[in-house]
Amino acid sequence: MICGDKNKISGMQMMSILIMIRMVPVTIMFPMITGSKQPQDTVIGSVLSVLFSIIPVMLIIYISGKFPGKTIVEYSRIILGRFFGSIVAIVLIWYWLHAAANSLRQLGEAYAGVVMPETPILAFVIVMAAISAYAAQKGPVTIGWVAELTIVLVIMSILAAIVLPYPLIDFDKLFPLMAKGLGTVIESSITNIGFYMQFIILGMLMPYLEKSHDAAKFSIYAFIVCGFLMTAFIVALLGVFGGTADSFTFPMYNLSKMISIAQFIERIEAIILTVWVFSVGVGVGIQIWAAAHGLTQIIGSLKVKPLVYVLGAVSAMLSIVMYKSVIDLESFYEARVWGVYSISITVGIIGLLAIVALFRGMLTAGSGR
Amino acid sequence: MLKFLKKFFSEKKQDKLLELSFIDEPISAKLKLNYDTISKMYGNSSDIVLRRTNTGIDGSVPILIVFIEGLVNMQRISDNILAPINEWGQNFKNPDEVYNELNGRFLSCGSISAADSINGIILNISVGKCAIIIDEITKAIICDVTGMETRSIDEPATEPTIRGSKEGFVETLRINTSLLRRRIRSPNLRIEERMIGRVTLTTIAIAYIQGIAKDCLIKEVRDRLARIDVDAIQESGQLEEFIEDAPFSLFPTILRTERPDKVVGNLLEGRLCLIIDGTPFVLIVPSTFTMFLTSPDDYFERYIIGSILRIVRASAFVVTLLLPSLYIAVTTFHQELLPTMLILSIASQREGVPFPAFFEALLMEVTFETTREAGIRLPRIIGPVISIIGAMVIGDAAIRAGLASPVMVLVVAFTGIASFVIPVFSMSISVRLIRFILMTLAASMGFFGMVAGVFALMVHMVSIKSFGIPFMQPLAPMIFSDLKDALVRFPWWAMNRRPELFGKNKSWRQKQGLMPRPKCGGNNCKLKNERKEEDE
Repeated sequence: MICGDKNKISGMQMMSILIMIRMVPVTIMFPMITGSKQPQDTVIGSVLSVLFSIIPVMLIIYISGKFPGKTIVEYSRIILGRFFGSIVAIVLIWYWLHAAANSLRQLGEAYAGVVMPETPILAFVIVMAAISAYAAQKGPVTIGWVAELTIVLVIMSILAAIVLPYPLIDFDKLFPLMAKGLGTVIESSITNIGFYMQFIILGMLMPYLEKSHDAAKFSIYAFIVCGFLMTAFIVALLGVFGGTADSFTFPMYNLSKMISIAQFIERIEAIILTVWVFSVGVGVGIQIWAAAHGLTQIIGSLKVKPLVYVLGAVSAMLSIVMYKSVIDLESFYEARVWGVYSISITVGIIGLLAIVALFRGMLTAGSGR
Repeated sequence: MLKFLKKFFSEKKQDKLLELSFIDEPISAKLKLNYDTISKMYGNSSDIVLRRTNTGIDGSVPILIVFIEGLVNMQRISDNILAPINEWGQNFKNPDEVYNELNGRFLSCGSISAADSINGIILNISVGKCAIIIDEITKAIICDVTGMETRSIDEPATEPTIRGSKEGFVETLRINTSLLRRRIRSPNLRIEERMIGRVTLTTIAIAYIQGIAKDCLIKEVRDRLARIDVDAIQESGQLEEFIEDAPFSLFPTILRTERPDKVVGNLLEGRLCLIIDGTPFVLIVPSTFTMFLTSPDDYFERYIIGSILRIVRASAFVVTLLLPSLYIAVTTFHQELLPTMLILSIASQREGVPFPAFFEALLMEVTFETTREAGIRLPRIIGPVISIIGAMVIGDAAIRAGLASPVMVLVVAFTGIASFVIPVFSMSISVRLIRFILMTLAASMGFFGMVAGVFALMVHMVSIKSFGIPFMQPLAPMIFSDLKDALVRFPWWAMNRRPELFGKNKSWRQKQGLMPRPKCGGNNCKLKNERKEEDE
């Protein structure tokens, strides 16, 4: 190692990765809106979901802190024992691969749906899986640096999509709130929490963090940024489209097409197309890396570099075979499916690890291995 | 594929490397033997001079003077070596006295050293020194009488600037080190020399400023040079390929320059430079992406102008990389992204063109690149004229023949001009090559292909390093304090610290608070003076 070659990521880079992972579904399909029965309630759902998601994420950071230098796959096997720990790790690997497949499918549907209808989805999925696997092969540090480099464009384009349609926004369209009771608020919150729970990837990233005590601080920053952007975006979306916002498959793209200021600032959808690729590249890249790295920690003889391409191909395949159409994907993202699925896996694993570690006295001061 | 590449680039069995034509044998006490050894080594080479003469009382001590004609100053040989030997040598009684007196008193060369082996003699005479071997003495006196013909110091041909020094490096290492020494007078400027190349014995100097350059980096450079075992090093580009971090990347990770001021600026920031005898191109390590977009003018013009120039260059980089791909993607797949009037205009221009946009772009790009290459290879006087006229005639003829649309010619021409804005040729040519890859991606998958290519390119650029320093630093990883001198340049009085090359241990380069704050100036001063006069 040459001087200055640290091979670690900073808190800022970790935050960028988390924001990119969370913003993939926001910028493309935005299931929280599209799957909602009462779109106006998603504003409350967006705020509530941040508050509820912070707790399990802080818990995973706390547990990771007790096992410095170890990934969630490694300490699962320490806490739960080799066999049960490996099962938990395999569930997590599946979760990351599935999430990566979903992102790939979203991107494929979006490009094939709105800009290149004659090109098969498979083409987009394969190319995106290949470059994400390439990013994964370079490791979390490179992905962190790329995320840091591109996050500005992602945030600026989301802000542009929020601010520029201001002349079209009618704040009256944000109401009525809770017209169908509390149920719709809870539903949208659950969908959103399901996405926030993808932050469980912190369990893999923590050993690569330059200063481990930054994890909590920058995770909270990520929550704040995501929460603000999403809430503001929902407000803009509802302000323009009102109760019909849930009828769009790709709301951000549709919103950006509405933008026309002085016949000069218009057609910013090209930027949205760029943001899709960047956010999916980072999100899928880090998830494929996490899956590959986790798998090599379970099966010692495997190597990450070739494995990322295999897992990239698996993700691409899953994204094609799991959903027949975009309708299927939308149905999957409903609260009762995606929300329950994601929360039960992530919160279930975090809770299980916390309880067993507590009973085994692994969470007390100085007990980390 | 990887296996094939590995096999291709590595050889399992290697024959013994060519041994040097001389061996490290000591100087013999018998002058005749030394004469024979040296003359045998050089064969019938006409430029090697082995001059025998006698000195001492009654000419009792034979001596041998060895040098290479053309590398030494003959007048100095005559005045500073032969004249003292002839004038004073008659007084010396024995070989020891001859050696001691010549070495200590009578030879009037600027620098005198000793060599105790034939190898030492050969190495010294090959750089323009003269060896004096005395019978019965197993050491040779080495006198510096270098006087080879060199090119005069000119303005760097490949890196002209508006302000700043007009001096450029030349092919002679010693002149190049003197250009640095003249600008950095501190004794902390260290210049370490070593020879690489079994046959060429090329002198390579590592220059750095002790106390600013990190020891670990100095060690790394020494180590990388030490592992090179080749026949020849003729140019810095050759050396670059042996020491770079990313040998398969299209991007250069080592900056080369002809400008001493650029080298000095980088030395002062903690980098090292490698000066190679025989080439005016000096290597700077480590080099990062933003360094390839900067020009000395940025530092010599006022900071606002410097910053704007940098933004122009960064934009030119993006245009060179993306404009043709964007044109292909938009005209082939995404016509809806353009305003209606514009797309109608483009469509009407392309009406008679029988090719798809990609082929049209490829045709024009290849034509442009060929014209440009021809312009470089043609004699200097007619080269630019031919290339400009060639481009104009070919462009016009292509439009008239219906092979290309005017807008395509415009895109290609603007891209070509933008590529000239990138100040470093090695980066410019890399971008031009990558542009063709992106054009292919845009032609096959439209905007998605282009953006996916850009993302992959970004991953690649972020992942490569230059001597351990991330290539994209300070953009990725982002180092906020170093952004002061990246895509924009802050005023000199705000750049108090050197760039963070190796962690947080940055050193201050100037005193804080140097922003100019004139105590009395403008209207305030006038008012104060008026009041003072009134009071009086």
